[in-house]
Amino acid sequence: MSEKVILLVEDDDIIAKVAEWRLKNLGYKVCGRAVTGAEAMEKVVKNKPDLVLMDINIKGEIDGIETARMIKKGFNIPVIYVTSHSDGDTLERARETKPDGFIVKPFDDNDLRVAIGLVLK
Amino acid sequence: MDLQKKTLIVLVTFLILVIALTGVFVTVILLSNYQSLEQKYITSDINRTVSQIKNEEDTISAIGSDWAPWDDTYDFVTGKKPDYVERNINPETFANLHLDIMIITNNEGEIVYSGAFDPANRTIIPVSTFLLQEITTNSSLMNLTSLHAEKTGILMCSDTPVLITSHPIVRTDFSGTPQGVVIMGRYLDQDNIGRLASLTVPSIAFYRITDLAISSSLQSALETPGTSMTIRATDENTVAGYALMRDIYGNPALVLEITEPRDIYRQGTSTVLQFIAILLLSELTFGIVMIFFLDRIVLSRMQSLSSQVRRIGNGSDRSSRVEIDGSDELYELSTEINRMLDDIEKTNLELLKTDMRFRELAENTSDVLFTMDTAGKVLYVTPSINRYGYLIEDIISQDFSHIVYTGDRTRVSLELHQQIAECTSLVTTFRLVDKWGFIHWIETKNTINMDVFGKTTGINGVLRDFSDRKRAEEAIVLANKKLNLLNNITRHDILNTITALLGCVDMANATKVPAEREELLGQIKELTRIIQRQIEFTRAYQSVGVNAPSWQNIRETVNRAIVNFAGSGITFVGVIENTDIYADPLLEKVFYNLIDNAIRYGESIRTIRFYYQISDAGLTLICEDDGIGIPNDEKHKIFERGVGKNTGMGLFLTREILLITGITIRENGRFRQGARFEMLIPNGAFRFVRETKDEKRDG
Repeated sequence: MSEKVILLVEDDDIIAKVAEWRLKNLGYKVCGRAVTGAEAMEKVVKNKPDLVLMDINIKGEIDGIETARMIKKGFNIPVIYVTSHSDGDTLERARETKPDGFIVKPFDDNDLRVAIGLVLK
Repeated sequence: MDLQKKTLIVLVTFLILVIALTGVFVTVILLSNYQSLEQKYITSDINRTVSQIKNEEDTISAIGSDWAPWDDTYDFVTGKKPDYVERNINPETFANLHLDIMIITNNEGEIVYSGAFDPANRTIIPVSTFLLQEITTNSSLMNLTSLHAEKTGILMCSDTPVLITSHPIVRTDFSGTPQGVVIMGRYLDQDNIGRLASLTVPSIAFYRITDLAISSSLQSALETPGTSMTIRATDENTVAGYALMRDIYGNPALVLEITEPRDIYRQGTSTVLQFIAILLLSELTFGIVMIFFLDRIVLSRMQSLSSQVRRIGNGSDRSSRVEIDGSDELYELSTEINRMLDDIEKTNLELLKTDMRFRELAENTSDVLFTMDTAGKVLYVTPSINRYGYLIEDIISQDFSHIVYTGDRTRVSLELHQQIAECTSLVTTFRLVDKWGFIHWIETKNTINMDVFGKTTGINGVLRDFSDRKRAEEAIVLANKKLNLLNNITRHDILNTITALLGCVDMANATKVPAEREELLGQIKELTRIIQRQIEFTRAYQSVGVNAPSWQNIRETVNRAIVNFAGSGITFVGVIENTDIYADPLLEKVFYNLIDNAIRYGESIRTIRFYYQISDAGLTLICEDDGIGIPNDEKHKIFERGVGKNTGMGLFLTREILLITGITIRENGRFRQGARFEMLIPNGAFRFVRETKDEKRDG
């Protein structure tokens, strides 16, 4: 089985560093990290990842939900939201994009393995 | 018009009418009576004169009847006594018998003797040819058909009318056949008329019926069948009576005129005038006496009573009472008026007390009480409306919607009309625009006002200003939203940090490299401090909006914030009037943050100034320093959370505290010249405070 490629969209440096470390430990390849929606779209086009780990609250004009909508619509790549948001409005907006999974912060290796495994099996 | 004038007019009018009616009545009756009496006397004189003329006729007829049936005359006519004339007829005969004419004819109608008397010369002269012709051709005078036949009457001659008589000449014993006639006559000349006048009335005159002096109307009146006389007033002083005299043929011949002075009539006129004068004088006297006593007994006292009541009614001296002398009905009336005034004064005092009590209650309440009619016009409003800049006169007679904010006007108007139509009470809210254009939130509680017949006459209502409560409610809602938002953000931040923290812990456990572990532990420590600051911020922020906003004095609040920086060496300049602003109780924290930021990042700061400016948008409070200022590329984000060299929460918190009551803040200083923060306090959220003398001295 070939190594699955994951794009990490996260504007916080430390969290991005921790997430990348955990994904590598789980056997996934991180093809890159984006901090804005525009950067994420560029790296999706360039790297064609198998999955995108998307933080909802990112820098830039468009947030993670809107970026996920464009990725799924344009490239049909599964997206898993990584968020600490629990307010109804944000979650409802996220659900409307029919995400492939949710990972709630704080997360550990097991949370990542289960969520990603369900999407990529 | 007062009672005195009315009474005077009525009385004078009445007296004038009485005098006029009495005068007319008396004049008509008395003068009519006097005229009747005058006519009666004139009629009597005419009758007497006519009777006297008749007597004259009888006399001359008697003379004729003495001379005609006489043997001597008989014999003379028959030619037997030719000296008859010489012996019997001479001037003395004419004079004694008052005859002017004597004619003797035979039975052939031939004149055997004729003579006329000339009284001037006392001689006998020939009879005028005209008269002779008239006599001889007059068959009625030559009537010989009977021994006793006679004819007496007036014969109209061309010159003078003659009273004439004709008798047949017979024997003294009336035997034999008539041999002729003896005709005797008297001229109705001035002498005989004068003699007649001496026997009757002095002013006798005869006119031919054809005389121009006899008017056609008089002629017609006299010739009317059954009427033999008429009386006419010639002028004011003379009255004339007329009688028609017929000649021996029965034809109208002479008009007898009697003129007499109108003594009776004048006496009557004089009597009437005297009567009217006496009546006038007596009624004038009566009127004056009547008015005098009426005025003294009734009118003056009534006027006095009226003026006293008017004076009391006008309010010049409501405690005084009316005073009327006497013991009659007017006195009783004055007593009753005084008793009524006592009652009114007592009632007025009670009403005044009640009115004052209610007025004090109404005018000292912070609410505005009002009354309006069914058309929406304000009839009454308490002085508490002044707080909105309106005078009572501005509101009275104006439509109620005049003070209602335009956006609420239609709704409020509909609700009021519905309330009036359904006769229900109404509780509603609306925005009131004060004289300065500020908006106040008002709650009104209205009740329907009805008259005794149950008809709706208007609305009584209370306006209660709940702007503070409304602002507090809005602030609390806003604060709750902000707190919820901040909770979410903070939880998100903390979870993010924990995510990183747990990751670093796992990485530290996994690494075999001591240096890497050391670095990760350092990161863990930093992340833990971040969490600590985030938690501390929540403690500071949780106070925002917890307590209701309140009116706070800017100068006092700034001074309390400045006290914390007493040893900083910074000069504080405050040019702030005694002004209150409506803000969150953490307002002092705002000023503290601004001063703290200025000192921390101002670098070369020496002075911080607080002052304000007024504009249409509201009151702008300015905090200005002379430090380094804020670079232009950082100005747009200095109020964001986490931006800054310290906690990054100070200006964010400052903005949030101010926004609770709608106050906005911005920085518009020039870099390297100093920072300048403008806080715009909207209209309605600030007010100027009237200072007492002590406050001014302290300030």
